[in-house]
Amino acid sequence: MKNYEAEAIRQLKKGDILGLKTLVYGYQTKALRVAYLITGNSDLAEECVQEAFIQAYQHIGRFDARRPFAPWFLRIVSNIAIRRGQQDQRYVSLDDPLYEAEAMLFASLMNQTVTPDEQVAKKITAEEIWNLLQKLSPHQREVIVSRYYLDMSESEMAKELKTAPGTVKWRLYAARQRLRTLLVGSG
Amino acid sequence: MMEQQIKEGLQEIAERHIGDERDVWPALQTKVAPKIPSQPRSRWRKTRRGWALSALAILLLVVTAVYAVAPALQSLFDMDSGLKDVHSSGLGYALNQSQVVNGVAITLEWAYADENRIAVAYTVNPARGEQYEPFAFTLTDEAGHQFPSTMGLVSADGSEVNGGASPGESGYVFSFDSSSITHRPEMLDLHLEMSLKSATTAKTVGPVSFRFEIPFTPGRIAAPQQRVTADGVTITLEKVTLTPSALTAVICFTGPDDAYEDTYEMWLPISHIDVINDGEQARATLGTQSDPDEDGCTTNRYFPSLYHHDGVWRLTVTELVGINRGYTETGEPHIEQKRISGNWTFEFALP
Repeated sequence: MKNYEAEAIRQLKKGDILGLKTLVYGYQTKALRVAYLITGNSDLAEECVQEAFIQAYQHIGRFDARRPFAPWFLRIVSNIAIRRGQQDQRYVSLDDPLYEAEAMLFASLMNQTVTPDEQVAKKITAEEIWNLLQKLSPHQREVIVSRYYLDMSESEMAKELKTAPGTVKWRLYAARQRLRTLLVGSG
Repeated sequence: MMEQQIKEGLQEIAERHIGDERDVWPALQTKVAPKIPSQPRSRWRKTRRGWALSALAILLLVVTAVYAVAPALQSLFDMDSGLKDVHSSGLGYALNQSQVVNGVAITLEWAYADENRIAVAYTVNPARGEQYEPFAFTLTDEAGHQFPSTMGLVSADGSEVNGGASPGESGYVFSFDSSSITHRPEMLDLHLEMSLKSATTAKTVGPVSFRFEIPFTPGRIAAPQQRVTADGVTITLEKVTLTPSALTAVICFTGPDDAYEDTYEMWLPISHIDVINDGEQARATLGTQSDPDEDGCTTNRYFPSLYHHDGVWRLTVTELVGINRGYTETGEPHIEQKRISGNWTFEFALP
């Protein structure tokens, strides 16, 4: 944990509001981007982040200061963004978000290619990724954001999703197997 | 390879839509990071009549029954020790004024006023579960004077703190700085106006307007004007105001920038207040503070309020913090701080 972050948390636990201000300026950009990727709406993302800082402020007493602040706080941001984003009903609802989200994203990307060579060589644009993300539910987007934007490992995701690590491993493995099938099938 | 492209794509999308310049702090501080706007410090005038009214008002308030507010509001009171004490002592006033606009019910449930703050508590119940949030809210007195908002607590539907609230119901407790009220009126005639906007669409509701009258509770005030110098910095304790809902102090000093290579945007004092009586000590710690005004004065708010304590009062400034807002080498915004330790101690009496 960075020195200024540890100091900010110590201040906040003592009721010194300067601590919150420090954390806001340290994490607001990352938090806004996570919330935006999940909700797809910059105004809504800002409201989510404000609410997340409010919750962090109210519940800082529960936070173990020996742990890094970012995962704990970004989990709050993600949960709020999912809840707020779920009011938008355009997404496709699926039962298993971890499996289906990743599978859908990859499969959609694969299906856009023409030949096996082009599948490998094709440069996927940010717009294409964004358009595909829009077809996922906020919960599914959160899985993608955790894995590919926040660079969370499988074990970290398991911990955050309160799922056994083996289950996460199996789901990711199954998703990748399915992708391979899709790749071969399209070739 | 594809994983890398997705990572880069997400990064590009996020950076394109959310620039580094986005700053949630100004809006956030009006909600939860209480920020007390710099105010011209008023002269307090003590009169016998004022104290007689004060005693009468307090007596009347103490016998008022505790009003059971909506669950969404009770959880918010529990987060603010001053308001929690006020409400549990029956010092607030049930208003129960309701308006329904475009299917959204807004109920002004409760209000309270003293020499530190005016607090209003209300709930919002949309007909179809859609969430609404207030904006452009103002509180004015009968002369049209607008009170600056200092703190807002929000209990949105589904949040952890919204214990037992109806689906879709949100609770709000907003506080306003009342330090500009210098004539100690018996009653305050107030006008609260707000608009609401949907959390998911551009739909707005309002403005809605409430008129109400509530008693004003005077505070216990000291104006020590004491100056203490340590480490080359002179700090002045200008005023302390103790009310049932809050304990505040105005502290003034000029930042010691000349002694350092860097110049800081602002300097803030970190302080606490003790009251000592027969060897027993109670302490209120710093909760919120305003940015310094042009005279280097900050209004500091402490918790708990210690309203029912008597004895020798002592305010201790333990640190001065110089602040610069900037960016790290990787472009992440952060606050650079310079902290100076040293005790500046002030003793004073509160009537």
